Amino acid sequence: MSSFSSGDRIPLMTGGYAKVVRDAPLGSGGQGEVYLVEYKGTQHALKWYTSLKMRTSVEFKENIRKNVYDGAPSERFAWPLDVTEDVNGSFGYVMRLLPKDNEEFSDFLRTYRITKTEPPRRVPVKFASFPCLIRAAIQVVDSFAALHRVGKSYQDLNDGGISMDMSTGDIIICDCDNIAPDRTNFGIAGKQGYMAPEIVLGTKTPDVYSDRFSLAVILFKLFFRDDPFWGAKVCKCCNLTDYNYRKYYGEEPVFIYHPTDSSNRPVEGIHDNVIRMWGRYPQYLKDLFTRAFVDGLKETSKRPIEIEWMSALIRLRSESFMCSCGGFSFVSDDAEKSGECTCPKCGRSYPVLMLGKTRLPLAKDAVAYSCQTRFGSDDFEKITLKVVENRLKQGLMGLKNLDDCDWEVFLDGTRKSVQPDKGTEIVPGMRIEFDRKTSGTVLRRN
Amino acid sequence: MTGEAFDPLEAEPIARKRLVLFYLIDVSGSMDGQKIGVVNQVMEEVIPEIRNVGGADSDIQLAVLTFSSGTSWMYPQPSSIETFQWSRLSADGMTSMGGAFLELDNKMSRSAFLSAPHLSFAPVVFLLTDGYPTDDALGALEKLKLNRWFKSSLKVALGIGDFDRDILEAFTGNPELVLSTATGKNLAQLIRFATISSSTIGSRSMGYGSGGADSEDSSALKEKAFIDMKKDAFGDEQNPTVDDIDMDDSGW
Ligand SMILES: [Zn+2]
Repeated sequence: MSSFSSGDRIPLMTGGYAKVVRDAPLGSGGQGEVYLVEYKGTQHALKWYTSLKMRTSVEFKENIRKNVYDGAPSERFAWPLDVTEDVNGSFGYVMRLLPKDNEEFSDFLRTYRITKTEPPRRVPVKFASFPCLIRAAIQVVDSFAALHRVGKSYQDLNDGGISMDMSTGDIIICDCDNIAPDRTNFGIAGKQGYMAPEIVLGTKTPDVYSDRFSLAVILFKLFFRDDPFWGAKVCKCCNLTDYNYRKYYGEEPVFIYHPTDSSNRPVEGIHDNVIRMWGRYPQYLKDLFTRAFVDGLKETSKRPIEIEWMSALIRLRSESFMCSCGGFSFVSDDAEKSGECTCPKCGRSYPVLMLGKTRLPLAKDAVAYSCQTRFGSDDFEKITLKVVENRLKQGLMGLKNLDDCDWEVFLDGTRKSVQPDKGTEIVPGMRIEFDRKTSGTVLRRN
Repeated sequence: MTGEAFDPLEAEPIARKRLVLFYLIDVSGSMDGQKIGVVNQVMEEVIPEIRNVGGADSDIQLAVLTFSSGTSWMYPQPSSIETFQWSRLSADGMTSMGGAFLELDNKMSRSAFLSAPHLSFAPVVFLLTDGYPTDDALGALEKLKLNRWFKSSLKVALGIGDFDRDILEAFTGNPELVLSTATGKNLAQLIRFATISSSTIGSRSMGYGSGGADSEDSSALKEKAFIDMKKDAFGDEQNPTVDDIDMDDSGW
């Protein structure tokens, strides 16, 4: 029952055609089908609406047209690039193809993907490393920051809307067709467990605030692999009817780690992921979740904004470390006192570079980014500092300047410059001026 | 506490909520031949399609109860859609729909198919028949309607040809939840639609909008969502029979 077959040319609003290059749709769902097409000489995807509601809504189509005109807020969206003319009473839009090896966020949560073969097989889905997971988290937050900055909201963020490269952590935000200016809504129902309470209750239409709630849920699940509101109290209801859903996710949700209300704690045997992991993560990250899911439940303006998540995640990226023995841990709370960071598995210790509040363990290959070493920079991808081993003296570790300006290094009354692409030995007590207003100090051991 | 070694990537699958799709299928003599053939074929085809419907946090399970002179479960327990193998049905005998209602009532309980500690979504119950019950179906339905799992479930019925519309409307509690096909021509399409839409609705929870969920036993929001999807798929025709679309002629 495909709407198109290979060779069909579908006229586009901006002129030209999208040419269908494969008979069967790549996928189909409740709203429509997705075809492989050729657009401007390269392969793209065409989302085609079969749903009566979608294909006949003038406002819906007009909104997509406007989004095409406005352009994507960042390159990480599978944004509508062009809208088709009407064909047989329906229309569609062209977007980028997702990389072939990407996985869906929902499969990450499930820990495996189910193949489309018969019988189906399970293929494990797991990030290659913790830095990949952090990278994905940062990119999700950054994408939503970019979207919200142009006054639009995603409206239906859930585990089906994010595509991820498990080997790098690069993400793509999919299903961008409901993205609209704040307070415009096309009657899209959200997904259970991701909707903000005010959306569950129907007292507000989706906006940036409800997006921020869903974003917090996504991040919580990304790190802790469980539902922030499904604990003992919800388990007791057995049957999650609409009434109970409304009650436990709308009227009176209780965060599973609510600081004073312990009625909805996670249940052993069901929520083992979060039970194992919550305590391991640093307080500054847990504080943000607590704010989102306790104070920010009803008071939408108290929900963490993207920039707060961003700085916590950038800090977490630096404060997690992998020892040469393979042991992984977060920097412990007493690192500042002891002046070093010790691997809990093998006991090896590393010097620590203080960058503002961030404690960066100086293990081999540790890096810092422009946003941490340069005043006013918000570039969280450009590496400006790296821990390297001296090529001539084995075992001698140094900091390499990967930025484009000189550093000034101060130690015991001496001062020297380190030019770009040059390095300097790591010595406890040294202070590095990365620029006039930003510096870092290697802690003295106690 | 921080500062302990652990593997942040090592995790169990996220906890899932169970959604049991109950299928009550008439396999009396009159279903023999083409009709039961379509049921077998479309169920084999649609099962892979709903494997991903609920995303990561729902575990969709099927429980298939057939009724003819007696009743019989395809498997002794609901089984996950991920591994479910449809066992082809054949048709013969009477239409003990009442027997099926009583058996469903038996198993819709925490001590049977909906056991704790799992959290379940309100189930979906799908009834398919092409005739008139040969037992006291109305009496059995009275009893089934007291079951609280049943009350909260989304109930959809599909009648083929000359069937007992009254009992199907009593079963669903809403005439709009009774799909029908006069000739059986678009049977496959209707089963497919009912399965995909009800599993989607069942695993998403309709929280959007106010009202409709004022009682623990209500399935009003899900019913409304199903009726919306029906209109979206079949237009304003209350009964898609009028507009029989292509016959799915595969599988004979
Ligand atoms: Zn170690």
